[in-house]
Amino acid sequence: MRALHVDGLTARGRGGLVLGPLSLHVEPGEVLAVVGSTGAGKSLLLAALAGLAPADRAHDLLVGMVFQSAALDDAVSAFDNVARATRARATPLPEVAARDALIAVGLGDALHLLPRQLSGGMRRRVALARALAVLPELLLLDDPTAGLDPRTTREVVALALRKGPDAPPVVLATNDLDGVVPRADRVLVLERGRAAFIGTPAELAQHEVARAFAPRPDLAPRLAEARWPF
Amino acid sequence: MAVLAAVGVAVERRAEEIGALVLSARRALAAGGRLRIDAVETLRQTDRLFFDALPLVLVAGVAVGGVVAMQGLSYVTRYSAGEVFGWAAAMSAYRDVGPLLLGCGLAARIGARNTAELAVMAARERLDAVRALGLDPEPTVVWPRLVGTVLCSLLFWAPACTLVLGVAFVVASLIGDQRVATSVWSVVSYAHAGTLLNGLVRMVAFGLIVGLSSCHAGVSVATSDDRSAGAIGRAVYAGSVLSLAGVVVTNAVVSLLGGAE
Repeated sequence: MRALHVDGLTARGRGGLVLGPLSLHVEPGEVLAVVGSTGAGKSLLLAALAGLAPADRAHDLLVGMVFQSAALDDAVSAFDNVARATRARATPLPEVAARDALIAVGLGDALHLLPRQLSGGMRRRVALARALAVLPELLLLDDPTAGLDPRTTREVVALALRKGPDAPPVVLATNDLDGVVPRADRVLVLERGRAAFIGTPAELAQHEVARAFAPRPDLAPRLAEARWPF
Repeated sequence: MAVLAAVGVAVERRAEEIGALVLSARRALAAGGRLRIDAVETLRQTDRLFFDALPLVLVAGVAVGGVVAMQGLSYVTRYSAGEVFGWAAAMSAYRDVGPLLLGCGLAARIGARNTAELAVMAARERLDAVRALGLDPEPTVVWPRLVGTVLCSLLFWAPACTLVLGVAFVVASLIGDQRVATSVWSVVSYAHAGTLLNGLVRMVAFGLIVGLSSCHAGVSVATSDDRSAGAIGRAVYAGSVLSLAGVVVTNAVVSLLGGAE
């Protein structure tokens, strides 16, 4: 497994947003969480790394990406959504790889269901299986837990952020400071397309830039007392 | 001056659309020439589009057959020309009215569907997901719909136009004094292959126009800053208008080039 290394990455997004220049180095098995307010450039950074947005620095790593909306084809089954990707990437034994990836994310019983028959969390897991099945050298996750309940968030995070010597470098965009960011090795804070902070999650908690994302202290007691339906 | 400026802006926009359409057509032809189109997806799209549009085509065919019969009968009665009724109805069914209304039906049903599906795919990152796999969405997602539209227009042409003709013969025999056997004899005696070829050329042209217009309008959402539901609705509207206008203009051009029979 190779590291992700880009130097002086710049990209231009919709609405005139300009990203960078950014320099990134993410080791294999390392998780870099990218946080920032809406429109800060998180999705643009991931799009640039995936080759979806015009960027002036590139890498040659094979990308697996999970989109915020899961981006599944509703006309074909969960299995076919993943198998198309493995066939397209010429993964060895593409059908077997697709089935194994779906079983690995806990969807062995839902192989032949259409995406519209799946819950939001299950759709996200199919998207994750599609990204993992192609044996990516770089895993990109765009807000993989948006709209999910805490339990499903924990499941998706546990599946996506498995670490180890054979794991690819992971770059994930999120604003979930409680459920996702603590699982990252490093955090990059973006502000209007530029890096405002980079460090560990513990360092972020001490940094003044974290205040913009931290829960409001006056809300904390009320949230703690609230009765959650799950 | 304000009116002139508005006209200028409208003309500029239409010119941009037509320019982008021509570029799309060039890329489609290049992709087809290199056989880079996903064959399985093309068959799947053709199957879906065909059976989606079939009810509309059948209903339209029956209605148009009735209209052809009533219009034809008025001339037949006035000029006592019952022996040419079948030939005139066949010209109308296979060459003129049949293909034109079939083209409009394709624009309304298949074109709108193509645009809506592609616009939703663009807005909900599905085209990006295909690109992220290192694939070009055009041969895998867009061109199968374009080719499917052309294939559907060809598949519909003979049965739909024969339905129009059959209904015209039956209606003419019911409301007029025009025997079905005489009408069939008229077709066999006077109609020739040029009529069929002319209609076939129209249908291929209509299929291409509807396919290109609708796919282009759908994919254009991907390059827009606005990916909202409103943008998808506007794309479907633009695609339908472009398809219908294209069918009408192409019909006029083929009529001019084809000459009178």
